Amino acid sequence: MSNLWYGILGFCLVAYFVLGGLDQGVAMLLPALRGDGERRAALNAIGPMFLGNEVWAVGAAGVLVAAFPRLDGELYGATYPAVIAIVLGLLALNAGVQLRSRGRRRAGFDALIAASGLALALGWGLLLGVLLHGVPLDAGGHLHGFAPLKDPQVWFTGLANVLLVLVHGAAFLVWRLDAGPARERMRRLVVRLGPAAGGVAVLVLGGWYLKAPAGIRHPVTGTVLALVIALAVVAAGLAAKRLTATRGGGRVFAASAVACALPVLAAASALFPAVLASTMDPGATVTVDDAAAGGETLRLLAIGAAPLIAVLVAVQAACWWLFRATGSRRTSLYW
Amino acid sequence: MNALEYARLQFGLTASLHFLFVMVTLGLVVLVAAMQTRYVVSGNPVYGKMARFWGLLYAINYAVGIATGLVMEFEIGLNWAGLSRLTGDVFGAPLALETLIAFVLESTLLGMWIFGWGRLGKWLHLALIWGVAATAMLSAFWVMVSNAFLQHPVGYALDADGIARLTDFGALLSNSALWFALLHTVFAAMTTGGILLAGVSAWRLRRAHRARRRRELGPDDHELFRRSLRLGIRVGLIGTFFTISFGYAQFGPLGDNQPTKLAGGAKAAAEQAAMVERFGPGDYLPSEWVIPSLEAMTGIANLLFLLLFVAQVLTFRDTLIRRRWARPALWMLTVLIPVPFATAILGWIVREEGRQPWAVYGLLRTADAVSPMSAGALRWSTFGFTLAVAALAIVDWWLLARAAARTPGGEFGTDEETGENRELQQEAMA
Repeated sequence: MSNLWYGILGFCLVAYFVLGGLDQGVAMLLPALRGDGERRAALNAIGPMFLGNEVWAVGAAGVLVAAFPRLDGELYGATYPAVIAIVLGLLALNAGVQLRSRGRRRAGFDALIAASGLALALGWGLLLGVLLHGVPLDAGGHLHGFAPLKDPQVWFTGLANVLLVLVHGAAFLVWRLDAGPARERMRRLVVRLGPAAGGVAVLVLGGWYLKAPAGIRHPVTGTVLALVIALAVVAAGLAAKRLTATRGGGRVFAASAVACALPVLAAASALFPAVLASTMDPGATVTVDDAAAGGETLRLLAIGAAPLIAVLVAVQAACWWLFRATGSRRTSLYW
Repeated sequence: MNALEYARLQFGLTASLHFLFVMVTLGLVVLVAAMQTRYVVSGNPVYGKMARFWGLLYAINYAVGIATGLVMEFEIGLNWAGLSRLTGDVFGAPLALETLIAFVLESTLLGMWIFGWGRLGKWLHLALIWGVAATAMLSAFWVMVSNAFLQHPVGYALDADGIARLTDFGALLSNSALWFALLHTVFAAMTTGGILLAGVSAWRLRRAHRARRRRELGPDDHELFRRSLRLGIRVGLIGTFFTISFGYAQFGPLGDNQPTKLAGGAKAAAEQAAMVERFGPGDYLPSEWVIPSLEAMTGIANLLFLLLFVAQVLTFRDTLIRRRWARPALWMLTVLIPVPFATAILGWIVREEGRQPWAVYGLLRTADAVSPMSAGALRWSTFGFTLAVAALAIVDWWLLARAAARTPGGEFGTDEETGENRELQQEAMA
């Protein structure tokens, strides 16, 4: 049962990395868009889905509190600075996107939106990096400092996520924006940045091999998934290269979505069944079973919540379907 | 201040600020849904304009406050590790149901509603706002289930390690600390929404009359605010009545569940002695803030009911708007806007401060629930989070005021006259 809930937690996080990643990517790309018209068109392309995208992070935090009550404290503690950046980034991104068109001074808000997108993409990447690195956790459950965050390899992992998210955001805009200079610029960005991000992903993978943290139990699975990330993001770049100047882009987006979905799975499966690997004492490592709530709680959640996740997915799918045409052809004036 | 005090201050401040957003959200959503229903059923465009005007305020408040709840989830994990470790199994379950189902679904539906104006079918679009309203209520329900467990833990058993395990979910749902408190909270939010509606409408109408600026409000807009005023007063009055009723109704279960909360004088000493006998030495009486907060809340609520009753009487033949001598009542309604918020915070002080020294009443002391963190680290996070959430609250109110001051029409990219999507219209014409 605890593995089922670990899977559901993973599902929420994957959904967030793909959907929230697309928000972060578009947010970071705002400065690359010229003029208010282009920026509004980009924001309105994510408009109907934006709130639904963002709340997967809250959903994941909720699953963490309920199904893994003995994990959230340690996890937040171990990655404290990154989590602070994430929380502040979420606050600023959500407020900024909403507020920018309510006032006259939009440039400041656009800078805030871009900065919070960067903070989020980097923060989540750092969080995965810290998990792969392992945390200084002793047998008593106490954490000793933030040593993992001083490791350059962790920062490379964060940087790799930023690049993936950038490609993802640009790929989404290629797919959804009307033909025009903005779409063409995004397309060229994907063409150039896709292979670069793939290269960085392979370098980060190599870095983890050199480092070989003791906590990693399934290096092969992790490697395969990391290579798929690299391939997917390169494929996004190649697909964008072949794209005509006016239409299409669904495949580019699909490839970048795969690339953004996999980092969570790669990190989690490399560590499984451990979640928080201790660098101080292997006995202090927190596994999925250690962290999970009691059987009755998990059963109840499985009966009460799991079927409704299907409803939630259906509603979000309906949202994408209902707004399938409007987002690409017309702009709403709300944002 | 020590770590415990910082952790409590931090959660108290962020939760209070978060609740300011919640009250507007819960209060306005049902009103907006009701307006839109009348619009769709009757076809009267003034209700469509009303739904969009107030819907914009609702959407702004929701989107600005959306991430403030996340700060609290984060605080529970980080600052209150003892709470998660010991009782997380039980009180975490309803919290997860809240975030995962109610909140995520609510946000998804709201995004569709905001961007669906003039694009989706009218009935589908109406269904979306009712979906938002239903999931908002569901959110409130699950949060209160969690809170009721902290007030009066039921449905659990301690295992060999002393960790509370959920044994009876039904008991969580029939908790005597739950239903009256939930209804009290929901009606308080309805009151807030009603008074916000009435207060803003009164301000707009008063401003239009006072300056004799007929152009200030067109006849349509005048009608919009006239109807909003009447609706707001009525909802505020009914909401206050039920808020007060379900407030008094809580005294019964409260005496059994938390004997120390409101005990005073000799009774306090007796309860203190009984608690010492049960749980060992310690101070089991809550701070001196609780009783004055309770008295202030009750006094304000009763006065509010009286004032709203007068306003309701004055809505007869629109006396409130038409007669010069009744104008001060319009001014009063605007002044009342912050009152429900302040009263609700007093209510939470009674409920939460009155639970002290327990984090989970009779089961886990607040001092044992707090994480082993240094006061220094907590000081900075308290400062940072409070500043961030307070800044959002200020920005929210500034934006709400601006949105309330604007001429109705054109919200959500809709046409001012027909409410249709402007760009779709242009395309149809071309």
